Amino acid sequence: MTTLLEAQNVSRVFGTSLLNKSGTIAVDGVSLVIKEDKPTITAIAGESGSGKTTLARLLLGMIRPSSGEILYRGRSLLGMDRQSRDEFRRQVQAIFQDPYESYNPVYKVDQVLTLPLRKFRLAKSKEEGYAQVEASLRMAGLRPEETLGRYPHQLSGGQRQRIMVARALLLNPRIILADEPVSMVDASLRATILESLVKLKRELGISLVYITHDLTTAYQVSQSIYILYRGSVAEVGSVEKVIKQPKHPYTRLLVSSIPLPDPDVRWGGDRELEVKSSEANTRVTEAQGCKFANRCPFVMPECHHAAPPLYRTDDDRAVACYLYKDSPIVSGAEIATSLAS
Amino acid sequence: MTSNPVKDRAPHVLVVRDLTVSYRTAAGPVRAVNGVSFALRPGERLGLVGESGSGKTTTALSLMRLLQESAVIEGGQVLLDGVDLLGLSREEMRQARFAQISLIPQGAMNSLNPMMKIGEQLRDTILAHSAGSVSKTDIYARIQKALESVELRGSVANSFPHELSGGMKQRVCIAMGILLNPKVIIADEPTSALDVVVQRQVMETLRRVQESLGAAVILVGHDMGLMAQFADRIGVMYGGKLSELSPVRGIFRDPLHPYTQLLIKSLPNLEMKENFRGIPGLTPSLLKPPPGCMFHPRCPQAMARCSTDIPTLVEMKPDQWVSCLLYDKGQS
Amino acid sequence: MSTTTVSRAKSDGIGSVIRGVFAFLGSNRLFTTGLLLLLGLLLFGLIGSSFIDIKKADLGANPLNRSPSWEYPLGTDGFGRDMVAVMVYAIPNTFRIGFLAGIVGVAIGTLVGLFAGYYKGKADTFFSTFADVMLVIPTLAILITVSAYVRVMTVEIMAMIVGLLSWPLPARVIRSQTLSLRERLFVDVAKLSGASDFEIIITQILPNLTAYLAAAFVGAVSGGILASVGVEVLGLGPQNIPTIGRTLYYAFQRSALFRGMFWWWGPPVVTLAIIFAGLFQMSVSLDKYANPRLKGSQGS
Repeated sequence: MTTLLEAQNVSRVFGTSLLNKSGTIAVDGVSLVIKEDKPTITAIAGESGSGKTTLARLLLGMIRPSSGEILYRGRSLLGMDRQSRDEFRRQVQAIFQDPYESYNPVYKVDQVLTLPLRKFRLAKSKEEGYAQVEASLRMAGLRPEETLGRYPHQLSGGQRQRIMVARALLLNPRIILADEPVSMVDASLRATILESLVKLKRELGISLVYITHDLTTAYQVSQSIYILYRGSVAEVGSVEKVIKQPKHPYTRLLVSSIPLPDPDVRWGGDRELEVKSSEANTRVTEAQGCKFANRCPFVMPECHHAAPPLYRTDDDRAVACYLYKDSPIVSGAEIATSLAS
Repeated sequence: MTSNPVKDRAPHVLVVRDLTVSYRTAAGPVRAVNGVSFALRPGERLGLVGESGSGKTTTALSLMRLLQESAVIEGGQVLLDGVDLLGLSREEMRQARFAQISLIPQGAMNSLNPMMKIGEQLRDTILAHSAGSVSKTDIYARIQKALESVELRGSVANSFPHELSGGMKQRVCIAMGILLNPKVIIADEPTSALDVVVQRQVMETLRRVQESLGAAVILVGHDMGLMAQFADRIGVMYGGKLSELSPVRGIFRDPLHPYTQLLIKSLPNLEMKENFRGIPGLTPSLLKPPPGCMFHPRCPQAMARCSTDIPTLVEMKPDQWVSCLLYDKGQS
Repeated sequence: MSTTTVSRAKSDGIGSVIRGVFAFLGSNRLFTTGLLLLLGLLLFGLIGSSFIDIKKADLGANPLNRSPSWEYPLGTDGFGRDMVAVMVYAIPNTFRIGFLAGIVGVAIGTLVGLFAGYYKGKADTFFSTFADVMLVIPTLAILITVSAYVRVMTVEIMAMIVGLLSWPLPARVIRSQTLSLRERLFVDVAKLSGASDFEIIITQILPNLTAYLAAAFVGAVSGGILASVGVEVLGLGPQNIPTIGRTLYYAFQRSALFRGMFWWWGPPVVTLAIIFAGLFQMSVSLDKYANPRLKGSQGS
């Protein structure tokens, strides 16, 4: 099976310059694999500062990694020839979080559909192009006569986000990165939009990378999940195992903080987990050791010496925590490839 | 069965009667809040839930009389311990704010003055609401006590906002909200900008603080999970009206209004994957509202009369109020 | 209905800008007042110059030192020039200078600002430093120096020089706006849609800068007029055509003030006052849009 999109041990640092050698490490050695023949939905979950948005931009080729590579069909994005670059651009698309900011206020919303139609030459004639636009809007649950010809501020957030889904349908890429696609949308519409995203995979064979901080929707929608903490992968594996039986202390903390819509269950239900210090102090950069050590209730001396590698505790799960050092070590690339196959 | 959830039981700290608020827009008047009534007991936690355009934020801000210029409070009463806040003069209202009823606004972290130390901002709040003069030691003591109650170190008073994390800033805003021991605290989506772990901690802090103060809280938001964890009662707003007002268990176990039912069903859960049950249709236009019931165009249980008659809030079960013609056999 | 929606969408970039301009005029009284003042003055000049023969503004064309009368509503000056004729030709000239200088300055400044702000890096550092240095150079001094060397100073040359010296200010404003606009999400969406850098700069970023371009233009026009009048008053500007500054130069030379010939120095001064009042009103009312605190340039 060909690998469609791959992040090979990528890192990205911000803020280094001649005068400032140490910047912030937004993404720290993350590997991710998406294969061609197996359309899948992969979730990348984390809080703010986890690096998930930076990872998304790296995968989209919008920024360059400081180390490691992003490969499209086996070829690195850096130094790609024009034709491959165009193909990559066409096949890897995105839906962003903010349904207002995604639109240029000077133009009608049509532009967001007609521009790529034109640039990627998706239609042979104006009529065909228009038909495609209309069809994709309908598939996204919108009525063309109510949406086309309007300015962004004349439509609701939900409608705007659905137009973005229509755009994805129109372009029919191989991969879509959805960066928090429903967090700014009303609750009653969320399920509908998420459903249309899952349909993209089911009916068009498009793989999705679903980036979110909401573990519940990640569970609903994806097959595998990467839990990021301050740029590193804390836990990765099948969404069933990682969320229902979390192993990494951070994952457990995340799951236990989910406000479950059940008045009789206190938060995530994990009473055992009490956290030492209240928040990640992002100003303190741990020189070595596990990044979660200063907040971890299970911290051990070795946690301060070196960052733990990924231990493969199950066939389809790996945890970066010394609590599981009895399991075999696995590289990020290996587990990523295994999950994607 | 009365059609007003405000019974004359003595110890209500806040009574809202028939609150109606409109906005003047270029396209015409928009009624954002349409005859909302509810009552709050001391120490009670009420969750005001709704989507965008439901009127929940406008309702909350009206209680504080902190609406924009274009908003007009057309009618109703807001009785805080028997005193109608809507009838107070501007100066009297200013005194009442923070002292009797306080607000933790949305994005509160961004409403802190970046140029002033935290302690100074807290001090200003105290001074702005003290009739007489307050001694320096007294101010200092109150600031320390407030910071302690939100689990912040006293040294935070000497910090600037940018030196604090998001959760800490939010807690400072909570501290400011309780500084003068108000009877009612309105929290308008206080955790929307926070991560889930911090959110839990901030909400637990808020809960501890209001319990020790004995203050009532109105939590405005759209996160039903958060409401389940925090609120005693929940008011569901739709199209500017209260469609259901019930204890929290009633809302989740036995929702009466079709909108609430659909809302509960649409909540993503960890039990079933790919469980997508959204509510079809669009939120109603407040400029040209649908005739009859605001929800009827999207309601799976709509009847013929739903497009002509307007339902009112009726107590279906003890303390469970719903505004739906399905339950309103007696009304014309 | 079908084809019209798509074809309307194609031209909506320009169409929406034009419509936006008219909406803007309607809701900004101060701006429109200023604009009308200037237009009125300009119209006076243009219409008048089509009726009145320019020869009447020549030296010696009329009796000298006549005070205002029916025949000469603004009198004649110490050289026998009909003041009405002088004003009617000088006003459009002044506007031309300001306009040309404004266009040149804003055009260069916008180009530099856009590209420096979008591409950043070394080019940006170079142009920004260059602009900062140029900002310190006094336009008037350069103008005086140049006019000392040029044999015949024309309106066009003056406008070009002022324009070439005034680009740094618009460049800075446009650059800082571009720096922030390039980070906006819709730029990312355009990139994902296959738009090239150049397309993004011209079609995505530039249309959002209309407020700043307008403000910069008004500023450049006033700067241009001020600089040119300054040079003319010193006697160094164009000699063969009537200009406001040169009229004042003659008036001062011939002690019109002491001789009580208010009709000589009066009209130029009043005209300048009106021009600057108009420009000031326009720039003040644009301020609230050009202020970076406001998000976006259109929409409710």
